[in-house]
Amino acid sequence: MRWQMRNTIRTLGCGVALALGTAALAAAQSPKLDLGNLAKLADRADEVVDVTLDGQTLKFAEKFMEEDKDEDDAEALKLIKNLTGIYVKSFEFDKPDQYSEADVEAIRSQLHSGAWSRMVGYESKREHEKDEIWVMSDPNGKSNLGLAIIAAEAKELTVVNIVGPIDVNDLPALEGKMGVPHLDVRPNERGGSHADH
Amino acid sequence: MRITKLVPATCAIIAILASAAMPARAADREFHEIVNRLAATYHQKPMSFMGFVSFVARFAQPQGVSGIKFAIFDDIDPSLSPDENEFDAFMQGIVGSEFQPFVRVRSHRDHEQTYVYLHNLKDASEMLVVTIETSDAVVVKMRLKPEAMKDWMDDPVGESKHSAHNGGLGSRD
Repeated sequence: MRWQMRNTIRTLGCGVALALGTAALAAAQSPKLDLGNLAKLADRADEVVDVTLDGQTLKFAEKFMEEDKDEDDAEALKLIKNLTGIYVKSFEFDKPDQYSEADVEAIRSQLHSGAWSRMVGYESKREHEKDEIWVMSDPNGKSNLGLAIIAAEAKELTVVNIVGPIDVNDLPALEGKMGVPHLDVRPNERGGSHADH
Repeated sequence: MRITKLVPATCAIIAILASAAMPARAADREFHEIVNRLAATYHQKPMSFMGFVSFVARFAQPQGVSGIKFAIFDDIDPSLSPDENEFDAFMQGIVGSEFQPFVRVRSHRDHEQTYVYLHNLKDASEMLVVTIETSDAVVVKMRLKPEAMKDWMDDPVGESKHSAHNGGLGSRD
């Protein structure tokens, strides 16, 4: 009887551990980033902008774009059709050093899993600026599952997370719309990419 | 015999009428609770001719926008302004899970706070906009059809400021 109970507990324990492990792995592999740690910067920032476009809102946006038949919107419409979320968090500070490298690292660490790869990197020590664009690919590498932008300047920090199939080259169609800032992403001569503001 | 037949029929009619009226009342709950909270915070009622303005707004509203309700608290005492974090929690509690956060702007520089929430329905979206500035606070609730969302999608932050300033009326163009 005792042996049976011990076995049951052991099986349950393994089940719980497996479930927790799977959940943690799923969270680590999700194209939706956890931006919660940035909330604490709000008190120090001069201006905070937070834009959330979830799947339902994007579906609603699709409707007007389809009806509108605006050429400018056509490209954006194609893109947002399959997206399930656009999340933008932007902080402006009145002086430098109001956020730490650790604050940014908390976001960056989520991008260090195998599925994410950095497509654009730009760093200017003179201008205290570091911009990165990361893309998450599906396991077979055929399509993208999401995109993340981190634009860190001395007095400004912007994080954009787009969930759904999107390519770096599609970004210009979304820039300036739906809270996505202008990034002027373009390929450089060495085949990589470059972002400047 | 006739009375026994009449009672269930009357009850059914009342139930149908009550259920028809309920969504409108429930949908306005957030608006009224926010207005009441701001009235209590600033020890003043919203501008008194709001009923008339809301009536006029029904005829002046831009295409795709309907059911505009708004309350303006003018000449508020900024020293009474609610604590940002506390008001954040209040807003979250009030809008519940039906409304999704859409835009949140917190500007210490301009002493301005803006909240925009969306409740997506089948063919329209209900929008709730709350802006608190140094001298006034505005609460707007409206229903938007897809065509009215264009400006919001193009520039959600700019549009939220614009909407709070003019009670959701007119376009910036």
